[in-house]
Amino acid sequence: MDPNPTGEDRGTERAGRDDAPGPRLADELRQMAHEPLLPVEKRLIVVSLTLGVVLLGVLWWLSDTFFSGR
Amino acid sequence: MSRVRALLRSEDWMSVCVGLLVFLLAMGLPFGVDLLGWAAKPAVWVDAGKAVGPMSKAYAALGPAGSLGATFLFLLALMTLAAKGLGLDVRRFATGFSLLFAASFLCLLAGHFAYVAATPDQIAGLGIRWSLKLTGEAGFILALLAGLAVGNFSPATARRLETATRPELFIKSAIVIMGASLGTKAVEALGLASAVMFRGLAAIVEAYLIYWAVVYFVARRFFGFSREWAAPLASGISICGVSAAIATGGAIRARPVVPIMVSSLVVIFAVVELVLLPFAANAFLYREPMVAGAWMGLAVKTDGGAMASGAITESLIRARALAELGIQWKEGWILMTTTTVKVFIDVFIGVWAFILAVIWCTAIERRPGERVSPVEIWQRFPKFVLGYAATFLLMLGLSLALPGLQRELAAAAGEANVFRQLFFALTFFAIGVVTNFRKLREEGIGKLAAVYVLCLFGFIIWVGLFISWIFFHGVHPPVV
Repeated sequence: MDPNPTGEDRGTERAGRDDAPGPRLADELRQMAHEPLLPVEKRLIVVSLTLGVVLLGVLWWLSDTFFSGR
Repeated sequence: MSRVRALLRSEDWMSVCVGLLVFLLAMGLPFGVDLLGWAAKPAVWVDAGKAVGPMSKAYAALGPAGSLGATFLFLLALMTLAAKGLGLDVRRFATGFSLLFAASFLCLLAGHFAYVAATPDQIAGLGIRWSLKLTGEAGFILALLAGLAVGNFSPATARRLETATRPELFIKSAIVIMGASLGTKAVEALGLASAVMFRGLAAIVEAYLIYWAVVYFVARRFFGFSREWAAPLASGISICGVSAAIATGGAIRARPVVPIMVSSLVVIFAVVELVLLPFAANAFLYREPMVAGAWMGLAVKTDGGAMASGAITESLIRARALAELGIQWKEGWILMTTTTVKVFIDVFIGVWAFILAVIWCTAIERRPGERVSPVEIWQRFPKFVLGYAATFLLMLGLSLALPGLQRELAAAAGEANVFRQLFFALTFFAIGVVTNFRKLREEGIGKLAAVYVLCLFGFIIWVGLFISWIFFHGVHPPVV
């Protein structure tokens, strides 16, 4: 198993410090093809937001009832 | 053995080792062996000769120079060993780390200058008439500014320091150490500590669900980003910067360039937030300190940036509350709130990446026969969180099981905390050094930055404030 599958350590924390020649971001963005929003993406967004709003109420009630901290 | 070596090559696991070693050495104190009492602790000063001294009176004979020298040599040895474990060039690391330590410690000392740091209750005792009341944490801001100056105006120096400039390693080690002092604080108010935990969890569930969906929609619909760019961008802006962008990039099989570019942006804007948000929190939230702490955790997008913002926010708000409200809130609770929120965010990155991987695999890019294993959640789990949980639970458990030793346990956590403070200073300086604004401008980062700025300042920060307010208003730290 790769001990660091995210590869999050070296290099990525060096904002703009990488001097190795690579693709320029501007070129990358220019070459980006247009992709229309698929129905499944719309569903993901709607479900996520709906769940967020519903859980906001539920979690607030749970916090206030069982974990008042006051 | 080779497996252990492979694990230690990750900064994540290495930070657990570094943090736990400091914690274990500190734990000698409650059992009669003071192993870290020589550690150099900065104090608010007027006379430079009294700016630093050993943590414990048992080591008073060392004096300022002796304790500082011992602290430097200890950290140099510890971190060089860590560098060897990580497979870095040890000589380059040791040289760079020495410079990093010197610069960070100088900033820390400058930040403790009485006219900068003294709080209202200290001013008369120090024989001065006024102070900026920024507390010693001002040293962190100075370290950040000094780091930014090096990173942007002296690229040759930044390159020399590069091997040792490891903000993630420093901050994760600090978080592991910090678990101990938070454990001793939790004992003081168990009900409040459990409330902070639950409310922190609730806040990040909300943040994940609301932030990600909106940022993804904005990036796709209004800026025309492809799915490959929009998903890591949404995770990077909305969840926890670098790690989330990389985990999401991996989950949806984006090319490596995508999360790396997003990460660069995340680090830059975390610095901007770090400079602005603690002062905004101090201006508007000094009556609601826990809201301010949670806000830092939800709004600032790197571990280092968020913890640093939490530390500055805590010192600013405690000083202001004492001056204007006459309330002295116990130290550590605001930062504990930031830490709790941030740690939960980190824990859930793996879960979120897994969910996205399943959706991409089964619905968006439909790869027949391909399955996503739940093991991926563990693979993406931030391991330093285990170290934090271990020190927190051990200290909490020991304090509850041995009430007669609570004072000594708190003193031990205090000794470990000296190193937490040093790692924070190193993190601030390192964040500054790795932040190169010019390089990003040369990359043509405009469109990516536009979506980042729009979402971060137009939405994320305010929704984060709203969620923090919902879950933390009316909850206050214990009063001294």
